[in-house]
Amino acid sequence: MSINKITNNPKNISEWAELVINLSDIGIILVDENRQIKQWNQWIINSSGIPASTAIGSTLDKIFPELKSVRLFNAIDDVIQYGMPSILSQKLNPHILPLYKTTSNKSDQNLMAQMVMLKPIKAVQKYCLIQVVDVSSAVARDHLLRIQAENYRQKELHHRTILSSIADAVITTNTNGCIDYMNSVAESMTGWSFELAKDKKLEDVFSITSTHSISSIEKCINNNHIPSTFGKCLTLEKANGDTIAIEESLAAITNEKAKIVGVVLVFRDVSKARKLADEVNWQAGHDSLTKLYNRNYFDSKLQALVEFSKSSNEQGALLYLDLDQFKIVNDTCGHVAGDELLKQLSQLLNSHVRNNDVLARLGGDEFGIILSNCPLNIALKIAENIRKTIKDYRFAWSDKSFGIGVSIGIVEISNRSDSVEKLLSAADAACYAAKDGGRNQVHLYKPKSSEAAARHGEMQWFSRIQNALELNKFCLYAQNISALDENNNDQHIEILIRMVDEDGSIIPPGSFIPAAERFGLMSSIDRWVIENVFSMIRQAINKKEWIPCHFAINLSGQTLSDAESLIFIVNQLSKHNIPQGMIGFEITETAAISNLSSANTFITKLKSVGCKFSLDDFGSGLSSFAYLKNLPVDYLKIDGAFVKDMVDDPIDYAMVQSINQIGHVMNLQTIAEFVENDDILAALKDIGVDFAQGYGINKPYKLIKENNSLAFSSIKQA
Amino acid sequence: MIKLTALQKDALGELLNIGMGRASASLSEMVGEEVELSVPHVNILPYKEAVNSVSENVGKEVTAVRESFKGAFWGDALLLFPENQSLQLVKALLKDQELPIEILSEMEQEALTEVGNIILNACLGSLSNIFEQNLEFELPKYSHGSCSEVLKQDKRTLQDQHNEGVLLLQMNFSLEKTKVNGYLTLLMDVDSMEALSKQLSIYFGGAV
Repeated sequence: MSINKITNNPKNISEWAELVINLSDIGIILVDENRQIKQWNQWIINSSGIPASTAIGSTLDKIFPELKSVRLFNAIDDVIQYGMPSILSQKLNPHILPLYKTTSNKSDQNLMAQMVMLKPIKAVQKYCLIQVVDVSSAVARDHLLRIQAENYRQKELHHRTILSSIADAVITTNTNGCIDYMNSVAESMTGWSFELAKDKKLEDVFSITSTHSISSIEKCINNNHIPSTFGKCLTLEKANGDTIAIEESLAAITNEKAKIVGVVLVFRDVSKARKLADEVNWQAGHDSLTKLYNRNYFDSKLQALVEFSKSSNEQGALLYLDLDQFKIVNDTCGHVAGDELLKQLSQLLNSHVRNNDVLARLGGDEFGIILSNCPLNIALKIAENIRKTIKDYRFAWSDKSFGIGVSIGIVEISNRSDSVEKLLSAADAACYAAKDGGRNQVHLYKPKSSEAAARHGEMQWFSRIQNALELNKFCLYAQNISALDENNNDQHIEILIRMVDEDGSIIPPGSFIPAAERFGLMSSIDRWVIENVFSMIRQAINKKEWIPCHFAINLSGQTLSDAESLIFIVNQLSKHNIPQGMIGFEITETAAISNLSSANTFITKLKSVGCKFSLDDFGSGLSSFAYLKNLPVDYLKIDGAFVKDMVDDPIDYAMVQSINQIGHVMNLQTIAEFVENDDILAALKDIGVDFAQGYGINKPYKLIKENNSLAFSSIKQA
Repeated sequence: MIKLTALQKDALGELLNIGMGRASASLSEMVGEEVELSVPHVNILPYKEAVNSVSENVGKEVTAVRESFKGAFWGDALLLFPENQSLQLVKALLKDQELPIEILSEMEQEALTEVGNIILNACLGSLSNIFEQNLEFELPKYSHGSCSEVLKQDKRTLQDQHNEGVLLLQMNFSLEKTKVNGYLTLLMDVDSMEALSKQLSIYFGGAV
C-alpha cells in the first residue's frame, strides 16, 4: 500500500481508489487484525492534524494515546473476529476520536461531533473499515430542535396556565370534531376529565339540549361560518345527568395559511344569572302573595286576546271577582289572616280555571279571570261554579270560622270588543251590579248596544207619555173589589189606567209606568187620574146616576213625597165636592217605606178630609209587619203572590191567614188580590178575609163606555 | 411447508439464548439496570401470521433496528420496541439529558440504533461464530412505523413472502425499572431455513 499523497493523474485502479478515498468527505481508516493502521485518508489528516506517514503502520492507541474508548476497541474486535459491523453514535460515545473542526485550535470546544461506523472487509486478510462522519450539523439541528421544543413547551404551558385560570370553560377540537384540549372549568362543567374526553367526539362530552350547536360547529369547521344566533341560552347536560344553563361562543382556529385546523368553544355557567332573570321576569308578572298573575300580566294578556278576537271568531269572557266578606276577616283577625285567606282562595280559584286561562289578583280582594276560547254560556257556568265554591268555603282562623262570598261580573270578549279599558270598566260595572243586587251573585254585563236601544225606547216613552197627558190619551179602567160578607153591600172599585196608542190600541201600564217613574212623570199621571175620576164622580152625582160607594186610586211614591200633590188632591176634593169616605188611595209598601215621614203626613192630612188608605202588595217585603204599626192605613191588600197558590200551597195559605189575622187585630179590613177562581174565593171566605179582587170576580173593564155612560150600572146588575 | 425438528428448534433457541445472554450483559451495563430474558420461541408461520404475531406482542406502531445477514443462510434480525418504550429506553440511556419531545430526534435515533446494534451483534455473534463467518452482516438500520411496514422484507431475500412460511424466532427482554420490553425477531424464508437446518445438522454432527 502506497503512502498517502494526492495523485492527480491516476494510472491504475489502485491509484484511482487512492484518489477517491482521499477526496471523500468522511474519515476513512483501515486497520488489520493487529489493529495496525493501513489507510488514513486526507479527511482524517485534516481533522486530526496527524499525517498519514505517522499514522500508517502504527496503531490507534499509539497515534491517540488519550483514546480510552473500550467500546471502539471491542467494536474493532467484533469486526475482526466475527465479521459483525458496529455503529458508534455521537450520543452514547461523544468525541470518540480526538478530531477537531480545525486542527489549528485543539481546544475541547473545537472537538468534532462524530459518528463512527465499523464494518469488515473480507479480503486476503481480515480488515476493519472505520468510517468517521462529522455530525456537527446534526448536533446543531438537534440542539435547535431541543430549544424550539422547549420554547414551545413553555408557551404551551403558559397558554394552558392562562386557560386553566380563567373562569370560562374552554374546549378545543380538531377538524374531525374530536376534543384535543379542555381546561379544568370545562372538566367540572361537563363532568368529564380531560383524560377521558380526549379524542372523543365533542357531542359525546358537550351534551347540550339544542342540536343546533353541534351543526354550527360543523359549519364552523367547514366554512368558518358562525351563525349570529349562536350561543344564546343553551342547557348543558353533565355526565351525571345534571343540567346547567350556559352561554357559549365559538371560533375557528386557523393556522398561518388561514386554513382551519380546529375549533375553540368557550362557554360559561349562566345558571345564576338566568335564575335571577327568571325571578325578575316572574315578579314582573306575578303577585308575590298569592303567586297568581298580577295586574300587568293580566292587562297584557287581555290586550292580546282582544286583538286576537278581532281577527278571529273566537269568543272569550272576562270575569271580575270581588270578595264579599273579606273586609270582615281583615278587620277582626288582622292582615295576616286576610293574607292567608287570599292565599287559600287563590288556590281554590286556581282549581276552577283551565290551564290556558289567566287568573290574576288585580289588587286587594279583587281577582280577574280571562277565559279564552270559551262561549258565554260556559263562562257563566264557570262563574257560577266559582261563586258556589267560594260560598261553600269556610275560612277558619284561630277559633273563628268565616263564610265568604264573591260577586262576579262577566263580560263577553268577542270581535266586537273595542278596548281593554272598556272591557275592564264593563266587568267592573257588572261586578258592582252583582254586589248591588245583594252580593254573592254573578252578573252578566249587557252590551252597550242593547242598553242604548233600551234607553232610546225610554226616550220615546217620555214624549209619548207627555203627549198622552196633553191630548188626554189615557183611559180609565176599573176592577171590582167585592165584599165577601154577604151582608155587606158596599161596592168598591179600583181605578186602573191604560194608555191609548195612536192606532187606538190599548197599552198596558207595565209598558209605560217604569218609563214614567224613571222620567218623573208619575205624579202628572196620578193628577190626571185624580182629576178625571173626581170630575166623573161629580157629573154622575149631578146626573143622579148610581155609583159605587168607594173608589180606590193608586198613588205613586213620587206623588207621596210631593207636597204640591197633596195640596192638589185637597183642592180637587173640594173643587168637585166629593163626598167623604168615597175616595181611597192605594200606596205600595215600598213607596210608603221609602218615604215614611212624608207618607205619614200625606195619609194623616187626607184622612182628615175623609179619604181612606190601603197598603198595596202587602207581604212582599220581609219587614212589612214592623212598619205596619207606623202607617195609619184602613185596608190591607194581601199580595197576590200568596193568594193565587194558597189552595195548593199550605205556606201561602198560612201567610194569607196570618196577614188577615194581623190586619184584623189592628182593626184593618183585608183585601185579597189575584182571586182567580171560586176555590180561592171559598178559602178566603173560610179565613174571613173581608174583600176579594181578581179575574175570578171580574176582569178590569173600561170605566166609560162608547156611549159615554158609566159602566157601573151593568156591574151592579151583574 | 418446511418443518424444523423439535431438536433443531431447541438448538437454535439455545444458540440465540447464549447470544442474548451476552447482549443483555452489555445492555445491563449501558443502562445500569438488570435485564430479564424470556425463553426463546421458535415458530414457522406464514408471513401474514408472523406479522400478526409480532403485532400482538409488540404493538401496531413499532420502532425497530434491523440487521440483514446473508451467507450460509440469510434473513433479517430485528430488535423491536413498542413506540413509546423506545423513548423510555433512550431516556434511560441518556441519563442526564431530558427529552422534551415526544419523538426521537436524529441523534437519538442514532443512539437507539447503536443500542440495537450492540444487542443484535451479541446475539448473532454466536451464530456467526458457529458458522465460521459464513455470514455477512449489514450495518444496522433504524426504522419506525406500523408493524407490517417495518417487517417488510426485501424481494432479494424473500421471493414469495406471502405464500411461504417464515421462521419467526422471538425472544423478549425487559428492563423492569424503566419498564421497557424489547423483542428480538429473526425472519427467514423457506430456502434460508433449509440452509440453516443443514448447518445445524453439520454443527451438531448429525445429532439434530
